[in-house]
Amino acid sequence: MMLRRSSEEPVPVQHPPAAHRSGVSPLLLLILFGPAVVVLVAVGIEMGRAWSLGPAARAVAVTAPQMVDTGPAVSAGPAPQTSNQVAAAGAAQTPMPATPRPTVTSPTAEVVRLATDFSPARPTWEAALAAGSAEEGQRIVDVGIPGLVACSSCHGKAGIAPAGSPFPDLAGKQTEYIAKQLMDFRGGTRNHAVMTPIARSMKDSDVGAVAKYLGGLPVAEAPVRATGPARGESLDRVGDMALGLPACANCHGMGGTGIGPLLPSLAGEPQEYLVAQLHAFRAGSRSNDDGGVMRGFAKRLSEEDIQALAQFYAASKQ
Amino acid sequence: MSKTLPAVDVAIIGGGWTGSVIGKELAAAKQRVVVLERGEPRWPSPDFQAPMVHDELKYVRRHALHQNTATETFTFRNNPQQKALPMRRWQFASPATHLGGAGSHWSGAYYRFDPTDFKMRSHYSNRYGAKIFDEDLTVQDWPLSYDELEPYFDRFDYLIGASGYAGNLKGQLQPGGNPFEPWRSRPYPNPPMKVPYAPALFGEAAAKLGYHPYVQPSALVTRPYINSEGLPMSACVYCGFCSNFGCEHFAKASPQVCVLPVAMKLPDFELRTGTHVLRVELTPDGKHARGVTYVDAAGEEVFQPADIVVLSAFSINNVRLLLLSKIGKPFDPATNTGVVGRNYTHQTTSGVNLFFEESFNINPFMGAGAVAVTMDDFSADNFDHGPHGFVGGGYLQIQVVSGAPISYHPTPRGTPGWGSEWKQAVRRYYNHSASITITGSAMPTRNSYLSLDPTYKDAWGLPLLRITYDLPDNDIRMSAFLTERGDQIGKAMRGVTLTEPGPRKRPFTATSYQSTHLTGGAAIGADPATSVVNRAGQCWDVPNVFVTGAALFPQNSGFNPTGTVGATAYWIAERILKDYLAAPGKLVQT
Repeated sequence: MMLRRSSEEPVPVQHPPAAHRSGVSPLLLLILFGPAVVVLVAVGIEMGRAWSLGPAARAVAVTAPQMVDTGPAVSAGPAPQTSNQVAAAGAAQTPMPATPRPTVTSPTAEVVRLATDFSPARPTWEAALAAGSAEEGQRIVDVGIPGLVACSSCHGKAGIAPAGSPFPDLAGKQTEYIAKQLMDFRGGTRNHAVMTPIARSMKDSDVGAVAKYLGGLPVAEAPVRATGPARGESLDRVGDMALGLPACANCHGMGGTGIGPLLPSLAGEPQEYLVAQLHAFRAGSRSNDDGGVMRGFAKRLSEEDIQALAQFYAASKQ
Repeated sequence: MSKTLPAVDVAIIGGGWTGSVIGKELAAAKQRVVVLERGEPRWPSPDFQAPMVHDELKYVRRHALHQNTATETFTFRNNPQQKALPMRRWQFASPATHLGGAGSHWSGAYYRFDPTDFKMRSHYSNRYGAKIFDEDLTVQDWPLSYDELEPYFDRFDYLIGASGYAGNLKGQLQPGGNPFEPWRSRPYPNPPMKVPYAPALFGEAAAKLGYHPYVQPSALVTRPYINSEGLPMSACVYCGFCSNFGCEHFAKASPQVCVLPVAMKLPDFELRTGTHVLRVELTPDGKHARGVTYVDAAGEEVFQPADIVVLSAFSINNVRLLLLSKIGKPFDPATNTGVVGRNYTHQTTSGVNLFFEESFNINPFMGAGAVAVTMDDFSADNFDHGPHGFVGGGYLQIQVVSGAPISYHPTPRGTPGWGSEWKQAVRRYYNHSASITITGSAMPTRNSYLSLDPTYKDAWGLPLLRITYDLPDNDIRMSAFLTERGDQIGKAMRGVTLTEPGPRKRPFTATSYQSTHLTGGAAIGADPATSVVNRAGQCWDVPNVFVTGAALFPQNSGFNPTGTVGATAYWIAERILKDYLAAPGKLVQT
């Protein structure tokens, strides 16, 4: 089939410009992304929805991503003096000049979170998930609705992508995970040339509907495949002490079978998709991992490790 | 007949925080170092990986990372008139064994001691008059000030990747941080932890009452971090398996993650596991250490000669080693003479159990060892002690640790301990309860001390360490005061239907958990008559023996010990390198 490509060839799932550099033909890109874009543009115009690839003009308000939040910039000025604070200031000692030390850098620069910020907050995907119905979701997935292309056009019938497709299976994927990913595409902490505009044209209730429907579908019957490489299995089961890498299984379940509502299963996903995600984490173009956990790991994985992991999970059974 | 090994420059007893930090510092300066760890090597990968590491039975109930009470334990009694009995199962202590020590199985609550903690006697005497101290208290000043130790606190912060938001940078209060925080020279290397629901409710109520709640600083890293040794740490995922467990995520600071991988690559650093040290060997005049004798994994006695010996075992096990090695004069409460074992304390903790309406889902499994909203309005000398007539203080907080299935099934008082009523109550309250934890300072008295037990011996035939301890009136009054404040906050919290304040009462019992912070017994001090080591951590009587860790505390602060243990480890390493090696001998003249 058209979308099949050999596993050695890089796949342009994350950034089309990079795909050009890696020698994928523009024709292939058109085949991949063309229909979706065309449908969206057409439907968007038809429905009078204002949308674009940029965040400035879109139909649905973009919710701030979870990690970026809170509070005004903090000035170094003295705090308002309450009696307790006066006591605290009195107890503090005369400042000493800081000893110059080698600078310690952190690989991620994140927005400052204050120690006084502890108000209970609900994640943005939660309201969206509460909104839609699985029936509505089925319609969006199978045939699409005005303004939204059918998810099945890439992710396959019943959420199972055609064999050899670079797109992930979504059938039986955790409902909460799907909802969060769609909201993250909307908010920009996850990026994809096709998915970003789609997510931005979805209403909250569309997100909830799709997540509920896909999450409730039976997982793909895994074909028997070759066993993954030993290095992949070893990273999955025990991690790597020298690289400071915990076992992937801690969060994704043994063999990537998935545990918990927000930690995706990896077993059986296309190898190209897995590689692209690790690359995206490494480059920071995907930044919707809580606390930067995946971005940190991906930076310490060699290209060989990424390939080994992707092969291993692609060959794992759900 | 023991075999003798080639000599080393430095023998360090214990592979926990202080042993690892000091070992690395000295080996980097070309000292030939051997760290003697009685336990086995334990590394995050492969030893602490899930799902095996999330085994509550193994790690919490069967104490896989704690000293095995079948071979060695403490005996306990409340006063010198009683006969002490051996502890068979840990509740009030978690003395570690295996690589990383308590730094491997700790929770990660991370504080610095308050400046007044270092000047306990003089500060309170100056502000309130000497009579604020009850007569039985043997409180004394450190020979070090907070300002002197600040650069070493700072070093430890950046080693462990501490998370928090600074409340006081170089004397400037910082909005968004804890206004009572002692000054710090740099911000925390990582941002504060996220906060579960119950701590958030606590913070909301405390702020409404005019207090200053803030997110507890922790040693659980909150984003990918390369530490001061160049080692990678990962962001905490809030799995809740911190206390008593090793961390699989490289997120909880521990010696195996933060310093040992670098130390192990140094040509002058050797880690020797399975080496159970029996004693430090002295020259016949008792004034100089020759090395240490240990039993290796095969049961053979080995003598390791060394020029310097550093005691870095679990806090009060260092005191036992001093007593077994006849270093320093043992404390005798009858005559009030001697120093080794003197000023032992624990931590004066209490709590307020809270029960919520069913619409408030607390989700106690969503937490981490050190994720809390806390407040220091009643810590240290942050409030006027005059009207209350006690010294010291403590923090109030809600911390959500794990809600693990074997240990956590809160029920209101009066619920039967078993049967269908108990089950109903557990079902009703598991997800609708929380506790305000109050962690307070502990003051020593003449009758709180450590000594060798005359009756009970360990598996090697050596006397066990005997703890004699009860809570002084001062601490009972403090606990009553703090617990009442906690109860008021609990009652002001949304969703709370019932509060159960539980102030600490006498007698102290070693059979219930009340932190595992056993401190003192080898006090650091300026006067050899009331301390075991001088300000360099050097034994007054045997100058080539250094003591580290919480055994040095002349009394215990309300703040958790590890920050101060880490800072003093860096301080002592520097004293050895800069002062002792330059001129071996007594670093403080008397």
